Amino acid sequence: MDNLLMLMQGFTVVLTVQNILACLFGAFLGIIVGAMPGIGSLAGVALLLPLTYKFNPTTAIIMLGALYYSNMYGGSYSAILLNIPGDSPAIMTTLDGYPMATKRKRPGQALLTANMSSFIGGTIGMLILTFMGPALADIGLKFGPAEMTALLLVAMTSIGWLVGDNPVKGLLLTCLGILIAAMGMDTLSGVPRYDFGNIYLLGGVPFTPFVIGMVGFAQVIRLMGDRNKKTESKIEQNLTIKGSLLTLHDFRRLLPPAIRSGFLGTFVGVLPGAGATTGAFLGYATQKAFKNEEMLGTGAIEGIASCEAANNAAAAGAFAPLLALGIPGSGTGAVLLGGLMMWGLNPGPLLFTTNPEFAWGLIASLFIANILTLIIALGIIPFLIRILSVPIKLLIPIVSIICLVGSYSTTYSMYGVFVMLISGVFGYIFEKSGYSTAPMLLAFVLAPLLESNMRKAFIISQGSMDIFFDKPIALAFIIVLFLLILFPIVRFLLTKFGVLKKKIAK
Amino acid sequence: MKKFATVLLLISLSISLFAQGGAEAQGGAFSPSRDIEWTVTSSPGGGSDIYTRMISDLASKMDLVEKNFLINYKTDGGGEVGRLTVSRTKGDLANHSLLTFNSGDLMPMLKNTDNRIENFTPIAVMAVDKQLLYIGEYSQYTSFAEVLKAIEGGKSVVIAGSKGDDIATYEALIEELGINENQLSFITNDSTSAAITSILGGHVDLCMSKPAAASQYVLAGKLKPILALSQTRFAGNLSEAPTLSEVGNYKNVEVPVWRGIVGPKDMSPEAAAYYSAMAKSVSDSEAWKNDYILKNGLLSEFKGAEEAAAFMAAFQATYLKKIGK
Amino acid sequence: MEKSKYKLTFKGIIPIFTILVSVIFIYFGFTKYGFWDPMKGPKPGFVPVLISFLLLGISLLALFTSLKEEAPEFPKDNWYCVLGMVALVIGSFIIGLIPSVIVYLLVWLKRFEKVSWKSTFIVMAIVLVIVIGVFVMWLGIDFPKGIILDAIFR
Repeated sequence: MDNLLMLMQGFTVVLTVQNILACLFGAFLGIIVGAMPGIGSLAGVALLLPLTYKFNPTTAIIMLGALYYSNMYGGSYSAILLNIPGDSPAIMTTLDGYPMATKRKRPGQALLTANMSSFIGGTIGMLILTFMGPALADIGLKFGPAEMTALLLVAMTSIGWLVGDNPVKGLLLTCLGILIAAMGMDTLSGVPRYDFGNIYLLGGVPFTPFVIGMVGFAQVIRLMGDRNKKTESKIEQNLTIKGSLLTLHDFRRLLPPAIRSGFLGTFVGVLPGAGATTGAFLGYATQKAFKNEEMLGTGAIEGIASCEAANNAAAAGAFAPLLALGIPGSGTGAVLLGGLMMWGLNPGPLLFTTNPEFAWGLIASLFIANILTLIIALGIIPFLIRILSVPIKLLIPIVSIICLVGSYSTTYSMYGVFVMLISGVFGYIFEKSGYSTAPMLLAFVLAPLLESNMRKAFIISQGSMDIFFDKPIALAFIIVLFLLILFPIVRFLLTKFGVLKKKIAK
Repeated sequence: MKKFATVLLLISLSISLFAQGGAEAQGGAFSPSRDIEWTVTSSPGGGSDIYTRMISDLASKMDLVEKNFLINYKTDGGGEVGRLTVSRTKGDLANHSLLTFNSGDLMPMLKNTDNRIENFTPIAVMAVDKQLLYIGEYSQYTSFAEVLKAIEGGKSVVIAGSKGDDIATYEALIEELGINENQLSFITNDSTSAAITSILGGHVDLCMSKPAAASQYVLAGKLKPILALSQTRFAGNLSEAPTLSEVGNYKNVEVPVWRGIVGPKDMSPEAAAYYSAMAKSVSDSEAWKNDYILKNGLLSEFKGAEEAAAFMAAFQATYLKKIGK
Repeated sequence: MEKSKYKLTFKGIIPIFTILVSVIFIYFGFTKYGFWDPMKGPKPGFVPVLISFLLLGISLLALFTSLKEEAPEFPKDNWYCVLGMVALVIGSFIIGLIPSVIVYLLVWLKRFEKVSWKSTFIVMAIVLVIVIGVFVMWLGIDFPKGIILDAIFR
């Protein structure tokens, strides 16, 4: 109850005209930054930081918090409308968002599903943050290298749910993704790895241009074939907010995955170094295990809801270690921390006691940003879906240029553009040959985390495997891992020997 | 025709947007004739960025320079691309290019590339930082003497730290102690905050950090300093940590972590002197001492162009010898 | 079979490519980066080598199955936008990124797609608002100015 009281106090701090305007401004900018591929929340927050020095710290952090948070909303727009993820957590949104907008011709509903789920996921994350923030941060701390290794191994098996009907092809790209991610500086040994003497490869393959190419530019190349087809105005009637509204049935489908992902995402966000992208991946992968009205990947509402809710919840969850302990869960968090120090605050375990009005003000502002962003989103959706009625002919050069400037902006150099161009060509060839690229992108994110945690665990245990079995949390995940691997095999064997009835699906 | 004129207008507009040029610098005493391009080889928001912005903001506020600073972030190849580009800058631009350069930048550059400090014009060293070893709430040891005893008894102790500087300090430490890297092993994290995370969770025994990153945790009683990697003890709440010579029959271990500024090799001596004087004025200001040095627990140790050149060259020679290059 | 003579066939190209990648990664992993340290566990080469062996096996499997598959087609048309992007990159080095974008849009829309001037200008305006308005002015990103301008203002 204490926390609720503190939160109310937080609201009294935030609810001034100036702060609400700052929050509104931050939310608005965040949506734009999020929708532009290449500049994620990290760049957005970092570039805006100097602007905020003039404000008092509370107002400034409210604005930045709103920007960081609303960024997740914007990321889904370009993912759904153009099949280009605006930021990396939105990769999973493209899988169902784009088909729902184009094949099922329900763009407004797709956008609204994304935003409603973001809202639900975010709210769950914030409620958990409010009531158990410090406790949550302590749970995050319990996840050391050994525990993270076991957890990530479980997460890696979820790739199996994503590979689709051709496991050989899915696994092939998964391995390729792990190898590409292995290139560059190896932090643990301080040695460059697979750089082939190239000074650019020394820093590895940057993720964002890689994604823009694999998903976005590859899509442009594919569209070239359709550009002379008449776009028989796919969307006539639903250019208004009324035409974009969800039916009650849609909402019923959206709710369970959004709530599930809300809890899952918050938990992932709290873990050290995991972040919103991992949250979205896991949310989507988990949804594969549940019942879906339509097949995931064909434009199912459940698919959009599960990843969008998870990524917003993770963004909220990441504030728990940031505020309670001063530990940034992501690059963006680190920049926010840098900002706190510039304003003369000392982020750390004492922040809640020394500057309660600030810490609770920030949490309260997240709630407000969540609502404001939803309202802004509702207002602009009707305009956004007009993008789909732009003829493909004209869309191709526009999107090409956005890919170009977006990938340039992630590295501040042409290197990003080269990475984007090359991965675009590969992405097109892969997709055309029946290889889906989503497992590859997932492996690219998870494998480096898994590798570094595993190696750290082995340094601690002096090369002994025992560390994974001695620690209770790690052991629990290892058991889950074995069950996940054994379950299909046992079922196969049982079916073969007639113990279990074969599923009759003819 | 009207449309064509519009195109021309658009083109000229967009060109004027990014073309900022100026007249050539005149001889004699140097003063910048165009905006100064300042390269930072790490991401916006990090320690190097804050350091760079602090200096450039103060230099502008104190009216030390009339032109603007354009801060470029060049993170490709772990920063090596940015460093190489600056070192090769020629002509008038060379007199208007600066690079934030720290010991943590110099070491990987020497280790992984053929770029050397001779390819730059050192301008200043602004501040020096040092590390300490800390224990956490869950640590099995309460002092560094206990750690040493445990190692003697055949136990293995794990330190978590960050990249670059921390590794150099760790290596100097085990060399002085005469033990190998399995007896006292080191986990390289991407950042100091990741290292602190792992000790707060009780996953490692010790943690290496500079005073600034750990100060809040020391205040909250979550971390306790047990060894000062310095010639003398630290001040304030870090004063209880002894130096290595107080713990046993060893020499003190200190690998100073410095933050500096360099320019391209082609920068004229006049320009170097100009920027060096600018850095000196910043370093002498109250704002710098209070808002940067004091807040980050650093030591203000200003070295001008010539002194910095000798210092960086010596640092390079020692490091190259150590890694056998 | 007659017809496909004139088309590029990419049958099995991906598995062959990944076999090459895995062999290179295994070679460097073993010779340069090391595999296992008795006291510290996996060395930098451990994960890449392990994954490369897996990739090698899967690639061989995929190679055999791909022989049975129909070869995917890559119509010539689709590669034009790749060429356009390459031209943009080269243009950025010579005349700078923003002028290249303008020239590219004019050539692409007027010469290649032959759309009306009105559409061309609308597209141009949208793109310039995004590139200059958002990226250059607000986010302060410094796009390449090209070697010509660099030479003039140096």
